Amino acid sequence: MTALIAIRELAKSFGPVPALADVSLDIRENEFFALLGPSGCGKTTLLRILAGFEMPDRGSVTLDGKDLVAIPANRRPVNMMFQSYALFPHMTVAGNVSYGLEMEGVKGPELARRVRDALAMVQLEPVAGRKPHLLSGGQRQRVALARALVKRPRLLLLDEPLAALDKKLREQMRIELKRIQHDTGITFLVVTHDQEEALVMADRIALMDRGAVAQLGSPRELYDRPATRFVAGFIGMSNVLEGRATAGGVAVAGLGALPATGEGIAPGAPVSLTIRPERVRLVAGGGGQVAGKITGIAYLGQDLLLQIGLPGRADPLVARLASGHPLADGLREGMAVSCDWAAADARMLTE
Amino acid sequence: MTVRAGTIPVAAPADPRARERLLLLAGPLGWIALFLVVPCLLIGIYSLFERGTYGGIEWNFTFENFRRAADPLYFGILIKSLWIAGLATAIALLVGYPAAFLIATSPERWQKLLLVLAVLPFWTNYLIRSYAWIVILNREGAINNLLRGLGLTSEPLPLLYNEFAIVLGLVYAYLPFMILPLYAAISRLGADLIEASTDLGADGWRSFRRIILPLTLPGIAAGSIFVFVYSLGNFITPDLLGGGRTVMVGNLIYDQFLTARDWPFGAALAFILIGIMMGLLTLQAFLINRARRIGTYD
Repeated sequence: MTALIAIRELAKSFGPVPALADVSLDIRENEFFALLGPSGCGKTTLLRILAGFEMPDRGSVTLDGKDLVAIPANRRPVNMMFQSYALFPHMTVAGNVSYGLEMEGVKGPELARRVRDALAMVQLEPVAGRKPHLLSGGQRQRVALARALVKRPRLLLLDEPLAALDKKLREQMRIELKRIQHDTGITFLVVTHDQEEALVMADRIALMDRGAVAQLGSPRELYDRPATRFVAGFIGMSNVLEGRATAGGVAVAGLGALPATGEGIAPGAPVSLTIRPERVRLVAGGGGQVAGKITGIAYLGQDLLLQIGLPGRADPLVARLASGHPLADGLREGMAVSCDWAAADARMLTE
Repeated sequence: MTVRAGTIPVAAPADPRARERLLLLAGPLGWIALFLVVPCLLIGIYSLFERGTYGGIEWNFTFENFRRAADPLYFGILIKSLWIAGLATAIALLVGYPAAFLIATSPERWQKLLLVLAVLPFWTNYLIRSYAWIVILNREGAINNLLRGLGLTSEPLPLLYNEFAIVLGLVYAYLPFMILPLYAAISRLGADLIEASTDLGADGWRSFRRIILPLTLPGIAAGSIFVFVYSLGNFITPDLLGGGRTVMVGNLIYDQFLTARDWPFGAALAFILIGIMMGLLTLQAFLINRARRIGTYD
């Protein structure tokens, strides 16, 4: 696949604070790309540089091989859906959507047709004549999306597109955004702090931390093979046990040698063992690698979350098991349990 | 049968704070009644009777005062006053809009300082400020001396005691009333609307015309009506800077009460002026209400 956007060593500081520190990444044609990270990680700054609202201090951005930074914001083939939606309150829904096309000089029947098509795509035709203040939050979000899509940009930027919606609508719209991206074939770049949102929607995720890309990859790669402790902690839930690398795993003080995998790590090196709660297995009748006592049980519907207190450790080991698990019914707080995991499911991380 | 709360028609419970609210309102309402409504009623009543020989009122009912106000001599002054006030308003808008825009879009820590600077002249006595303009504008004043010193003019320019000086004085005096509502309207606009307009392909001018201007219209209306209403009723500036030759309706009213001792005619002119101002202020309230309803003003 070809790179639509090539970002090279992009840097930007606000006063003494670096917002972006030499970020390089490619965004491919027709992909759903997510910039994920905690607030202040630089994802919004990167988005605003792509939109043309901020100028980088150093580095380059090209679109289709052409320098994007040199093009003024109003002439870039890039459109943005604002977190606040930024709908024009004095214009109708149709007026908001047609604004961008009017700026391009689109007129008459073509203008009417394209506005109608954009509104149809987000199921807003019935409210085309309404002003934004008469719409629900979900409808406003769709107007903002239609307005940004109607010009058929090469790249669509979405700044926390679902943040203002309630939970149920947010979950529907994830699927909806994915469908619209697929149907239009436009490259989407979404900025979000919600890891679940990024995992569900994106083809690839760049997880950012303090102005740099911590890891770039598919949702699966980030989840299953986090490169650093930060990634393991930010995406999903992880148990972290500090120790030293051994031939087949990690030696953890008080727990002994535990199975884990890691590439190119010298025995004896200080490492963190990370293991996802759903990869921790409960062993009936004892005999697992780790023994402890249940200190808490949370019922989540289809799953149970167990907190297992380990001898001599403040943080409990968290295990997630299906409610239908054969042992699930008999679990009580204070009960002694034994657990283990496959070496392939536990990762050794040095950073 | 199920009974849901709120569906049973019971007498609304007395708001325990209603009495407090009434007490709190009594002060301001009393003040307005005593010093605004009563004088306006008095003016209205005066305007419908004949003048006394040495001032005061002869209690003979008549519409003569209003008929006389339509006389070309007086009507002309009213039209001229409207023209001068309109001109001052237009210039104040042209000067005040960029100023307000600059203040509203400058860094937050500068905004307060710039606003204080814009309002600073208010803290000086109005008369003293008017006299200062005489010092600046007269034949031997700062501007004429500077122009002659630079060799740009040989004769002093007639800057004072004419319509130009009145308009200048009014613009200067009431500019803050233009800047403040415009500042409020522009800062409410939000940078993201302008960014959205840019993002959709608009250049600066088109963003201004299609987004900024329509959304700051309530501010423009508020500021313009303030400046216009204050200018129309002003009599000190025309007196001092107009040199008594260009008379505005404010001077005419002043003269009727204090020089000509024709209270009823002065009252009729004042009543007409109040009518125009009330009309404009009602229009302003209407425009702002409408903007609030469609969400372009809060």
